[in-house]
Amino acid sequence: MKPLLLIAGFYAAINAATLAGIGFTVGWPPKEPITIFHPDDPSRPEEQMALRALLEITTFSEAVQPQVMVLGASGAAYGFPPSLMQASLPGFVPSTIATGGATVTEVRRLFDEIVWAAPPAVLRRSVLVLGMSYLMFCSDAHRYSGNLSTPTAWWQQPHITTHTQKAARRHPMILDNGNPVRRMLPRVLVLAARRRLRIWGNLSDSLPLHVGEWFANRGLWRFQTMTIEKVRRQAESLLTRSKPILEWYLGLSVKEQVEWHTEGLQKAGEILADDQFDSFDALLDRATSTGLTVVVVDLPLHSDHRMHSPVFQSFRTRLRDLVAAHDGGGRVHLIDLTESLPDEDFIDLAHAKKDRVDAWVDLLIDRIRPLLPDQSSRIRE
Amino acid sequence: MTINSLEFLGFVAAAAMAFHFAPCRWRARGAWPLTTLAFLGLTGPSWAALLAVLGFMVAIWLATRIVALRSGPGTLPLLLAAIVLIFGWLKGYSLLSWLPFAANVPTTIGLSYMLLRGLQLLVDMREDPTLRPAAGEVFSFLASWPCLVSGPIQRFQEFRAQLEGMQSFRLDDDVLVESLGRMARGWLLVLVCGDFFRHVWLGLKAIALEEVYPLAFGGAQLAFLAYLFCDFAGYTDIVFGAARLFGLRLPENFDRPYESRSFLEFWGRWHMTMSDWFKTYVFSPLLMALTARWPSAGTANALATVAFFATFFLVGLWHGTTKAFILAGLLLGLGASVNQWYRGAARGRIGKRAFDAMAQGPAYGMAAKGLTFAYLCGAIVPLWMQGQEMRSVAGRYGLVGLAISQGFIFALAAPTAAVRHPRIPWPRSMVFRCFLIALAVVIIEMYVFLFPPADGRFFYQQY
Repeated sequence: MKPLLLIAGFYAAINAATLAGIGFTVGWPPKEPITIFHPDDPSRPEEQMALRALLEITTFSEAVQPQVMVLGASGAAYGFPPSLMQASLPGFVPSTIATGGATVTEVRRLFDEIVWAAPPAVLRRSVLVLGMSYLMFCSDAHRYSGNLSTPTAWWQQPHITTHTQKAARRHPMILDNGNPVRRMLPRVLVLAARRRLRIWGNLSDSLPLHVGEWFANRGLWRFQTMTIEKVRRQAESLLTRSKPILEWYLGLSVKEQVEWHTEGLQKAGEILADDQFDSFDALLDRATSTGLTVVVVDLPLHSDHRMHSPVFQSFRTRLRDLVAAHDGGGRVHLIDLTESLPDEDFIDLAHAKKDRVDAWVDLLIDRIRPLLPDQSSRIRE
Repeated sequence: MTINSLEFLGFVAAAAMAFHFAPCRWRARGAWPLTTLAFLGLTGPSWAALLAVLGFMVAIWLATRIVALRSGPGTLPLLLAAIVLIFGWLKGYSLLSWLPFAANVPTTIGLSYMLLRGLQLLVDMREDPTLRPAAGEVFSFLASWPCLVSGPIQRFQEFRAQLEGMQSFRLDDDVLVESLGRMARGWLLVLVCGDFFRHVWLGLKAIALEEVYPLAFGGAQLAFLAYLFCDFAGYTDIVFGAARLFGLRLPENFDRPYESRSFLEFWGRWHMTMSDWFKTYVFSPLLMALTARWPSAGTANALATVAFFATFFLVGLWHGTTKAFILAGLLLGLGASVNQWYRGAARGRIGKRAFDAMAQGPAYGMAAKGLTFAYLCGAIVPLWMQGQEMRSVAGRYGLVGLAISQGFIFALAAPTAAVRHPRIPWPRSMVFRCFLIALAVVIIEMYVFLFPPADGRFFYQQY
């Protein structure tokens, strides 16, 4: 037993030294508000955003004040930065746990993590804002199995793996809520381990996606002569470029984006997948059962979606029906913002312009303010 | 469950506890076989696969009974052929697709190594009439879980002695730290170093396939070899450490192969137990048979060349019988036979002493090491490239491009010929050892967190 105790002691000491080293050199994790998406660095890989989301959710365990938690994909991340919402929501702590390219599956997964981490009493006084668009209801098979959303070849897997699942594999015992070891471990221990990973995560932000990335840089190996270069590709397919998805997406012309959103998805035949609606239904069930006030926001979209997308209207109908089915207790609300903003406010077809973000935020705050739970009456309860 | 997973660590811990809490006399006959069964169940892809593996073991056990009862000259070759046939059938070799139910045989794990252990046992039983293993011993030996997935290949006599020693084995602090240290080193090699080289290899492979980048193709070959070494040597460390917890001491499988200065020396340092096996059970009998047929001293070098070619060709085929493995076998056989022919001819011309003195020279050493790795890296390309990809690379790169690729490997390997890597001794201080183990755990945990691995599979598991 002596060696095991010694190893455990050294393990704790080395960990403490490592954490202190990272904290004092790279920096300690920020306090509230939680920000997953950095508009100044839109090229960040989606898996890293998912990791950041998983780690930041840990802070909900220390929450005392009621929260306004915005969940969604890049549309919500661009449009509703928590720093801009903070001043307009006195008494609430806003946070935006939105990751690029997320489907309903990923949103539900992150919501499950929030329910696991946050104290039930805080949840009962909090608001969950689900920033949705029809693009998030495409099937996981379509979203996660191609090069489109997993641009680097080494991420390719034989089975469908969402970005959150990939991120959780970095430390499955702590980050994967389906892992049997995590289920057996005491919650306090998992939270402590996640706080440690949150500090490690600071290091992750300043590192390449992989330590071998530099070696796989094609410029390093370029050695071509006229005699050996027999074939050279005339054009490179956009979809196989090893660029982060958002960078790739923003590099497309508006025409190409429309084609991608409509024709590309239509060809896949899985634009509105039934299992995503089932998943959304389950998410609403769980959210209402925890006592949260739920606001489903049909996000603002460029008018091209309304004009060109073959499923735009049918999605709205299905979403309304689904929310109406949950609205019995008056805790689930639907806000339709799809046509609320002019096309000039968009950087592309789905994301807010940087200098127009405050308009997005104002729009949201104005609509959700009447729906916020009355904190005074809650406290009296 | 894979060897480099946390589940495996949990399995080892649970199995070790069950083993040491069991009454001493039941360790070898009860606890050990039970841990083996549990391992088979946890690693087997399906129940059908488990049944297939058990069936194969029963076939080998029946063969041992026949060898024990009948010692006719034709019995053993017939049994060996039957075992190889069953093996090929269970492995789904395309050559044997005409056999009944060949298309429905389940995918199994560990059969290749079980075959080598089984054949070795049968041959040794004929050589040594006192060697008559009981059914339980045969089962424990064939399915010995630390060696099941990818070796090392232990001899039965050695295994049996260690099995008998289990009763008196005591797990003290030294053994525990040795075991944990070896496992930590193994995981460090697999999950950190191996993953790094794997990433570089896959990245360079993609670049080399996309356009004509000879340096990337050469780099991919070197990175693959480095990855394979870290993955395989790390795996060996892990199972070596795990086996120590049960009183088993497995044979070493690697001896700094990166220092090799000839193709044949490389195989004496890489996967040593497999090389020894093929040397003992294929090369030596074949050479003896050839020498008996053509007993002239003048043909000795030519016969050894032929024997080396056949042996290494079989090494390639043992990994699989697709066209890629046949090509790899041919290239390995060619490398070994050319190496042998050159060595024999040079010794014959200038004398053994003068040749050895020349081989010690720095310029010769650099050229030899550069050539060894340039050839070796090219010979194992079929292990990681599809036939179509190889054809595409050969067509686009041409001879000049391929020569630049291999020249790049030569240029990287040759300057390291003079570098000798001494074995780093394991520190004596218990406290320092524990510190190193804890440090390795933190490094592994941090690396996997910061640079998540693409795929947790152990490369050699597919064989």
